[in-house]
Amino acid sequence: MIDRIFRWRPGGPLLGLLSLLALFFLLLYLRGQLGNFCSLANLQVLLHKNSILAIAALGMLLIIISGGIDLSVGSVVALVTVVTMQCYRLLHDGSQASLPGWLADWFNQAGWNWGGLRSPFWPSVVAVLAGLAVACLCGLINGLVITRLRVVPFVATLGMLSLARGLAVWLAGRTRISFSGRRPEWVDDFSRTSSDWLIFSPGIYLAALLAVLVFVLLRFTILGRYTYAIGSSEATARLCGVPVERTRLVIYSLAGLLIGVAGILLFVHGNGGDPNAAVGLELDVIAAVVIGGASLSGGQGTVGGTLLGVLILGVLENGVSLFDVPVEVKYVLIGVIVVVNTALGNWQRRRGQ
Amino acid sequence: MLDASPSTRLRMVGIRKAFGSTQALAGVDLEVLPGEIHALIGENGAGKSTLMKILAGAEQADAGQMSLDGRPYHPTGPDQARRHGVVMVYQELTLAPHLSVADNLLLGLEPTYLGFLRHREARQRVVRALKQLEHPEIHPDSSIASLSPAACQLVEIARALLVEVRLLILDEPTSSLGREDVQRLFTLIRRLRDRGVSVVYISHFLEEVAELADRYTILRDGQTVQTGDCRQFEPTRIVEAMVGRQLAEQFPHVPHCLGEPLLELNDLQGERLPVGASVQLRRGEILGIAGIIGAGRTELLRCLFALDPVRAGRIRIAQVDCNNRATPRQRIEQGLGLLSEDRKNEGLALSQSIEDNLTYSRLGPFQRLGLLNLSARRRAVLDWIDRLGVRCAGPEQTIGQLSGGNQQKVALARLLHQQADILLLDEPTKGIDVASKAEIYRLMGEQAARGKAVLFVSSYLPELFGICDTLTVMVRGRLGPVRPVSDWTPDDIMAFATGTRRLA
Repeated sequence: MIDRIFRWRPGGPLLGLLSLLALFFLLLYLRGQLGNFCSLANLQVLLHKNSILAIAALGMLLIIISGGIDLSVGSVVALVTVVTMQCYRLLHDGSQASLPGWLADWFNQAGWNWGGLRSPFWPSVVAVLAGLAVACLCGLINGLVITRLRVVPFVATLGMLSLARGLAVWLAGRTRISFSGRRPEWVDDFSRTSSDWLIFSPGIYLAALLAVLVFVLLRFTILGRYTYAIGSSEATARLCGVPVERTRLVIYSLAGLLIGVAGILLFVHGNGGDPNAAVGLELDVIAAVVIGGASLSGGQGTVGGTLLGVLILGVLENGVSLFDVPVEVKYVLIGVIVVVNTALGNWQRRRGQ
Repeated sequence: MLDASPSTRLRMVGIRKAFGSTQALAGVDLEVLPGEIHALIGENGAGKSTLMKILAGAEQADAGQMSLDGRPYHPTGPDQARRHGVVMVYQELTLAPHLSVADNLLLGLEPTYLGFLRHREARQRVVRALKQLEHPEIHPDSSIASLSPAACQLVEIARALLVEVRLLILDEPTSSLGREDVQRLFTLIRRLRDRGVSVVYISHFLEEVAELADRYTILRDGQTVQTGDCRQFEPTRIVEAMVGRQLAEQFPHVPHCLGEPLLELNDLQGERLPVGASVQLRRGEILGIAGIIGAGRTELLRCLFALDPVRAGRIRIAQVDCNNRATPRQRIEQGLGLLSEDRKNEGLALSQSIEDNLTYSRLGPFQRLGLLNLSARRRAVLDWIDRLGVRCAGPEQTIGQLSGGNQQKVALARLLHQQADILLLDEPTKGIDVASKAEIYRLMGEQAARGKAVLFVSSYLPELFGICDTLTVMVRGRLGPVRPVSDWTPDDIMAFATGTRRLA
């Protein structure tokens, strides 16, 4: 047992998080602000803010392990917020009420006049499902373009990046859209940083649940083992009878679903659909996964590492905000951490071999 | 030891080179005269390519001395060798397909002035080099992608002519050429020789050697076994020297007997290769397929395993006709298992663990309610590691950290784990140590004794003769007759494989 403790060498991401925490502890202690940093309220805010990033990163993790990449995360998330909002308003308020002009006109011409349910339950359920379905569909389309048209993931998802953003802007009528009346209760619960009896925001538990599911998927299912196989060596996977194309499709669709959940959370946090939201989110997500020890060449990456990666980015942002340093510093630090962490990870791996 | 007589162009003495535990060259001597075509002959793996890479600066020798025109010559890189006038044209073409002929010729040799390309001078040199080819159809501005393989080969040679070439090394230059192109290439090579260029010519085709070369050197197992004049060239004697006499003890024999037919191929054709392969494989049979690299043996196995498309022909497995447009998954279910020739890129997922690599092709039995029982899998993998004597730290070790022999044992264990009845083994002993080789031979014998069938592709004749029941040879995409191994001699095989004797 003692032997194991001594042999335990923390991997790159954990070491990174610990040293970052130590640094902030020291600096904040010297400034006498340690209390602010270590308070429960700060922890609640930190986790709440990063639950979206964490869930999207889980989706990205699946794709990166399989040797792919998804650049469309930010756009798809924005599209999900817009679709969910529009769907809710359509069902709740009816077709005339505050839909964008073109959509209302279109409904009028078709002779559909829908008064709306005026109760929050069914509109909420359908709207959330529609949001998830749209994200899943975007993932599926990414997968189809990659496997059937043989477009490399970088380019295929670059296309989706633009396409989903355009769709979101169009569907939202070029503006931010929000609830017309009072927002439903569940949105209220999820958008608060703390909760009465659970301590943390419900979104954090959702992220934790999904993390466990993805962990089980990667470790204990055939699909998960195939994901690593394809990412490590596609030729080997084929040789072993792995249905490479089909597995890719499932991976991209599942990742789309996770990105959809992230989109729903952003919809909740932001109180509505914003076609210009989450620009560049994919870069944060990729950074988190890579800081978490995944390799962009595929075949490597863990759920634990990815969550640590998300926490590193979160702690960095949170800690920096306690100092009076400008926001630029945060970006510079993230850049340095991504590169140094990856270089360290490679170095550790080379030494291991 | 090195005498500086100017009458030799190149002298290599006692060249040694090891890759890990494999001794690729164990003291090779080679002497090439000015203005001669010198053929370098030997089986696959005899060390020809390694020797030439050392000569061209792409590899460094562990020991030994080289001199060029009487001066010590120890290139540290291909560009330095090139500056000495030693240029190698590789078997696999090394041209950049999107660039023009001129750009390809100049790659790495661009004449510059203060860092700027000197266009006019560059152009002149290219035109001069192409002129020497006497193939006016190759224009400096045409793109490489638009040229035929034969023309590409000529461009490669033109690249050599761009510098003042003293020694030109050609590695299997005719393997992708048709008969007419071969003759035109020979004319060019002869013209170069008459201008005083020395040419080292590597080829498997003995009739080409007899036609073209002035002298020859034979390598076997990393050593020079014979040097001679091509005027006294006797193919049968050459083949004997290439194959040598090998000891039989290194091939453990497991008694087994042949049963009913398990796999029947009828005129199987792939996209390019094989051209037409018919063969019957019985239970308990180890059938060896000999042939030179590029004869289509790997392609045959890949077609059979549905990794490459089948164009025509019939595959029968266990007396049942099989769909030609199957997936590897279906082939695995039909009882086939393929051991890839390319262990590092295809055979194994090097960044993954031993247990993953061993079980990828059959995870089903460990699955319950959609979840894998990892401890059951661990037990199964430990059992295989034990049975095959894989030396490793444990099932979770990354497979890339194992030695070649142990990696190959895991790859083979995968076929056994997936319960393959027909083992398609493509060069299973390539690049692994002698002890592991013997263990793999024993394993093949054991599988045959259990009523499985083994299709064994190898370029190493002693192992084919050591462990196969029946043997055949593949030549330019066609399979020769299958005969019991006692009816073959290594000389027969080499005569077929190198094209001195035609298939019936």
